[in-house]
Amino acid sequence: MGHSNASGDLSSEMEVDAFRRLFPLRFYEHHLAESIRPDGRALGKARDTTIELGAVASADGSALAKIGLTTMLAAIKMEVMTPSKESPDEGCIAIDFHMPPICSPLVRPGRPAEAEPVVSKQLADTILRHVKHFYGHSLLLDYFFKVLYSGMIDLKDLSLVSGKAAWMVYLDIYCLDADGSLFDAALLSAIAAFSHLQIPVVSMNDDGKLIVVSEENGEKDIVNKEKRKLSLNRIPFSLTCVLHKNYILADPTAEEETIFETLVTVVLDTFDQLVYLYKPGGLVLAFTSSVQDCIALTRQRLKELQKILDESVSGMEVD
Amino acid sequence: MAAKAASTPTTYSPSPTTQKTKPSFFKNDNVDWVRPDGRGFHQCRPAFFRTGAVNAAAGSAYAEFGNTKVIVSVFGPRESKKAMMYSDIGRLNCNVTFTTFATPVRGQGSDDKDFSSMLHKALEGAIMLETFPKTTVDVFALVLESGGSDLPVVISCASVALADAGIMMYDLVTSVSVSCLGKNLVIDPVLEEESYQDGSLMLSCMPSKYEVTQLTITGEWSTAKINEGMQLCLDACSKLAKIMRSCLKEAASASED
Amino acid sequence: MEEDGDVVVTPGEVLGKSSDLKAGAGAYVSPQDHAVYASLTGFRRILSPPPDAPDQRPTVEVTGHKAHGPVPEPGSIVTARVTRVMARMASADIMCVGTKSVREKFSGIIRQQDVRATEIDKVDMHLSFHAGDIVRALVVQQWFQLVGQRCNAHRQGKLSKERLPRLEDDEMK
Repeated sequence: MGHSNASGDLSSEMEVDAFRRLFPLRFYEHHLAESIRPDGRALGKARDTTIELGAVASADGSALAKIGLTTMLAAIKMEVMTPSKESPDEGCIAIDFHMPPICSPLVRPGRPAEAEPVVSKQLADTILRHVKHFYGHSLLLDYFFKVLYSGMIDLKDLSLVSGKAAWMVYLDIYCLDADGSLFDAALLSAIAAFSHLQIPVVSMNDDGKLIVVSEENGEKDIVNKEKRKLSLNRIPFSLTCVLHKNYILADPTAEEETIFETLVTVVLDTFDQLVYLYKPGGLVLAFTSSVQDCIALTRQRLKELQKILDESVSGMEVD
Repeated sequence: MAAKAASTPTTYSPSPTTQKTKPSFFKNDNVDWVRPDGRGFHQCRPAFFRTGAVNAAAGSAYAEFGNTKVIVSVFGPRESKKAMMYSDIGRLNCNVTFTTFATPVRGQGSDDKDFSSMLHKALEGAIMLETFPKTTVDVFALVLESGGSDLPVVISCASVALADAGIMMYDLVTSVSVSCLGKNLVIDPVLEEESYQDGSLMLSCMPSKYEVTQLTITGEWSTAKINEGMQLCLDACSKLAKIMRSCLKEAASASED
Repeated sequence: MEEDGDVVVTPGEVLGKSSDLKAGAGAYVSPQDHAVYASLTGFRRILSPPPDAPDQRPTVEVTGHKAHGPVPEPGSIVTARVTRVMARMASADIMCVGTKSVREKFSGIIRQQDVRATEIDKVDMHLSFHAGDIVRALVVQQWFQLVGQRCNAHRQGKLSKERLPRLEDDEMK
């Protein structure tokens, strides 16, 4: 490799791998100067992305999403709860992000990974945003807020029997292989699991409990005949970038995230609204222009991701 | 999760809970019942293995037996953690966890601790610990979906992952269990069969010399039944070993190209 | 290398009898049945003995596919990054063993008495090492010592005459 001279006499006897390990920044800067990354990607390009719906048979909705090597498995289980007095017509969504020890050498059993609570919180902020209702001062105002700020999911869609029963949606996302851009992959798998979700048909038994019944012999009083799918409005998609000097690298790998400590995560929704922007410090101060560049990259990425999601959903319907 | 649990209301799964009473077809004298998935009593589920499931690990494998799906990652040999006692030979460290959605009712994965130590004991004898002195090899398993015979699948999958990681072993370890249901022995039981079983026998062995690394027997067993059960397991283990070896060979040949 | 076998074997497969074959890397002889077995997944290769060797059995080894990452052991020359300097020792992260990079770093210790051959008690660790220095070192003892000579150009002068310091692999206690 041409750039090995940079580290003096040591490099002549060192393997590329070892050089990369010892002088990661120098290794990367040689690449960046040529506008290419070690894995052959252009700086603004994300890795290959795939979605597979229905990966978990025991769940009501599930999806496996891969961005490069980063792999996320999301599954939704629906349970029944009694809604709170304040919002008798609303269900609830609980989102948990897990990094089991299998996914990275940095995670050990019994010690939760640092990223775990961070990504959980980011996912909740993105998916559940503004679903907190506005106690209407006026109906019109209520309507206005709903149109403008509604979340991806309307919690009212989760109601079963007003004041008595509503869906509790447990969304669990497991990282199976961690190679950077964890939030992006986790969000994608979550969105895909929601698009795959089939709400079970339930009917009330004599004890007032709701139980799953099959649709065929459904002469009984089915509580949720129409609501078998959640309508997803304003689907959020995200892109994480790392900043280094004047370079912006989209969809960083784990190695890139460790070397360049400045991350910017942008979430846009399908209405082209900015949902979330996250820049947790870092050495590089982001100028407005670089933030705008990140947003532009996210806008491109959103189109790619939307296409991948649409294809996987329509592929599902054909089967 | 715990923090959130406080504020969330109690919930229940609407899925019908499994009946406490045994369905009639599992009853003692009935020899003609059909297994829930239509298999013969002595027929295993189709087994599928794939190496290299987790790139971040030194070695890994994914295994799928019907609805039982597991991933095992192997890390190391790496530095032993400070808290560990000094050891001259290598150290094997195992951990098994379940996803919250692994079981029909959320968050009811089996006793992880027990599985972890069982996995450790099943593998220990097959690994050449002296080849990585003073370092640790970590074997971590995640049960994605629990569909019955979880532990035997984890053990077999772990030995494929260890081979994928280049850890020296005397042999692979294959593991199979049988359930005793009345007069019948059924091999490679599914979850439903396990919940009604009168007894269970699990055997892990190194298939090339039929050396048993672990044998557990619970419930009611006659000596004759134990012999029959062990023979069934040993036969199934050697068949399973063929599948595991061909998976490893395929990966090795593919990496050559 | 005599036979470039494309035969892939897996741990536990029989490679031959120990009366005909010697077990090389990735193979072992079972004391029970005196057969040679593979202990790794990889390609089986048979090496002829040198013509003058007293033992004329060929050696079988399993190589190729995937061996585990390098592990420092006594006698290894390693490249390490100094992480902390104390009065009597410095700690370092081992990044490479020989020319190979490790998968996960191993920690090591460079002891004051191992930095050079003479006047070992007069070595000032703070003048010899700084955090962030890349050093080359010889592993003296696993779990106790190892170590090396500095490679950073700007501090090389001070240490160049000294013998390889030793780095201790792993911790002290």
